[in-house]
Amino acid sequence: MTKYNYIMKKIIFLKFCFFFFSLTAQEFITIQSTTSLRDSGFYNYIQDKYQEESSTKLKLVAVGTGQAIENAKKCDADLLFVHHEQSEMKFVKNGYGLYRKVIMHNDFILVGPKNDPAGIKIKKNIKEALKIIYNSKHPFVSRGDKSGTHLKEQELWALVGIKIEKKKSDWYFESGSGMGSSLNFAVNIGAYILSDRSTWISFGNKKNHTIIVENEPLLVNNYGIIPINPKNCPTTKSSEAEKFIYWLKSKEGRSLINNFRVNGQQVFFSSQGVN
Amino acid sequence: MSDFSEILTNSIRLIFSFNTELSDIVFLSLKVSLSALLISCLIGLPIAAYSSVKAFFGKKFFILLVNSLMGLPPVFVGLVLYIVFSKSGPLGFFEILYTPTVMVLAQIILILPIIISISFETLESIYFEYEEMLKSLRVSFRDSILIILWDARYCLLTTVLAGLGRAMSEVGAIIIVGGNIAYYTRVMTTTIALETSKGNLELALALGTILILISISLNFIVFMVKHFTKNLSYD
Amino acid sequence: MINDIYKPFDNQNSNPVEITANNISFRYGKKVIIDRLSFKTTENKISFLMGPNGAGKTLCLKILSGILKPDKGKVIFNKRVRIGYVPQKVIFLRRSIYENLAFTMKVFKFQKNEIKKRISNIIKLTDFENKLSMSARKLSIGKQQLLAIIRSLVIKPNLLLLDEPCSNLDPHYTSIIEAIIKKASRQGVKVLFVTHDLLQTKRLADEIIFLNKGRVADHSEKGIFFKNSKSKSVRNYISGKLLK
Repeated sequence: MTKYNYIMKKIIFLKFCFFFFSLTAQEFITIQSTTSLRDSGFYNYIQDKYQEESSTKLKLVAVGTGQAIENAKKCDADLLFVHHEQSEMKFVKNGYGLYRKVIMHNDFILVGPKNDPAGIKIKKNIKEALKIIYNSKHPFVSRGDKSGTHLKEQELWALVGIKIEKKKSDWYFESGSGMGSSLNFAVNIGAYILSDRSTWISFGNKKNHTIIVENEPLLVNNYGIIPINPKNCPTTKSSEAEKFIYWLKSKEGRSLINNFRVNGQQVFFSSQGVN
Repeated sequence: MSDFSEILTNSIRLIFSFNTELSDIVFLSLKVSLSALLISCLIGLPIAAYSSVKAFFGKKFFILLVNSLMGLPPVFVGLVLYIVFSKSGPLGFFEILYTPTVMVLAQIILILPIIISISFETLESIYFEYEEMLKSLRVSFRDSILIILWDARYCLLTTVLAGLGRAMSEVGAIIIVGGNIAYYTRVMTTTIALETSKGNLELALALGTILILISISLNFIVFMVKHFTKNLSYD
Repeated sequence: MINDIYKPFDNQNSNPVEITANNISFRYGKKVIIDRLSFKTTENKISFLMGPNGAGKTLCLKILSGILKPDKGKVIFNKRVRIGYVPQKVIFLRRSIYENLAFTMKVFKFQKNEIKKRISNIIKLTDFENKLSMSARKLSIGKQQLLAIIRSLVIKPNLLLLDEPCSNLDPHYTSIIEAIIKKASRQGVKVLFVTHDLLQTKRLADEIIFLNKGRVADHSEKGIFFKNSKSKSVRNYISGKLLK
């Protein structure tokens, strides 16, 4: 027996030991995704539906877009399902992903206290709103975690030409955590915050907060899906991953997305024809 | 205040409407933590007993090291395991990231120092007492280890509980390596963290209450075992 | 039949154990506790090891029993020994009286049914023969000392090394233990006994090895030891003077 064979046998034995605790041999694909898909209940919904079609299980790891991309780069995913176009295009361009397909969209919203202490509602415009918040120094909570929502927020600040000096500011708070935790934070200190619509609708601790700005072209929120490039990650399950994408883009998949409701409201809109 | 009492009453209602999804989560929690505990004891107790009986070079340093490892930050453990077991990491070929296996592993790393450190103190003091007698009877090294382990068994129960407590309450490491994936790697603590972040405070509180109830009942069982074996422990 | 209890394991072999200490030295760090110690016990006698505090008696016993190894010198026995050792501070396992005795016997490879039989016989020497399942550690000091003697005898030793086995005991338990030791000695068990109790020495000893500052200061029979010892330190010790 060669030494190589011996080592391989050992590895197989160890794998067998680990197997005792791990999942059953069922085929599954790992999706690195954003917290909004999980927290809104969308993922549970789509997983149940997909199980009727396929024996492939879905394992969804919900983190911020930034972390999801980093995890996918390390090959800890078969699919990347996030919402920041620029980062996604870069991911594909650098050879980590095969291609990007936009699956669905909704929008970002500005959430704040019902009495709107900064007086934004009259303007109903996100650019103006950010300027008012900046000038009035009313508390604002940022995700600060390189998530899709955080990146979007940074783009918006840049768009209105405001550069925030985070260190000195006593009104701009970086929560450094997920959308839900950040909403909890904002609600408790009576701050404004940029959120995706699905998380807000399913959020259970709204108290006296409500939507201040919504329905603006600038605030569109596209969810893109990317299969991992097998050239970079040889163990990735490309065909199972692509089957899932194909299913999401199918007529059935599209209508399932459109029929998903949170508290009676539609939160995702299937994107047609784009990419 | 009315806010809090409302959350409390709702959460109590939720506990009694215990559904299968919840019981799956509880079951997975127990399975992961008890597996980690079992393996940690199988590794840790012999190491502690060996260190109590044998004088070896660097023993004091070893104990110092183990004692300091008791304070390992779970998040750090999770991060290191994540990097190591990531597909592109050195042990990625095991393909155990995002599985209960790696959660067990994380908990072992966290509770092994506790098991070793606390049981070492117990076993060392017993061996200190027994040493002369065992030596005068020329009892072998292996038998000496077995004797102190056996005679310390009721004291060691407390150690085991301390380990289990840390395992059950841990969240930082397993949420990173397990990924908090529904039905696969979502346990009580990670569910609490998740539901809190979703603003579902009632559900989070209900889960926390269940966790505490489990902890209390485990402690109670051990207390009863100790109580009823008091005459058998011959201490 | 009852005398069978005391018989050593090598009963058929009639000559008793002789202990020879040959130039034994032992030190803790730089402090010399035992300094080129040599003696040879007289066979078939109860030998007493006496001396002031810090003379090295306990240490000497530990070296003879094999717990400690001397830095220099040798302990020689005239034949294979099985030692029943009773330390100054008696320790029992966290187990019942029966299990404590059985454990010691198992170490010496006694058969299961013999263990049971011998324990039920030997425990008759005590007044707690019906309490075999009680924790050994919950016995009173006197009973613990007695049990320690029993435990040393249960393995059928041919050499008993006893380190102040009657300290802190009332006359009742002392007389029980002394009777046991006398009977064992008569059955061919060699006894080496450490004590400070001069009256006990008068009652029990055949010969006395007197240690001072880690060396043998005197080695004589009981009569000579008490009446006209050549050693000044022995005379001072008996009369209660501090030894220099």
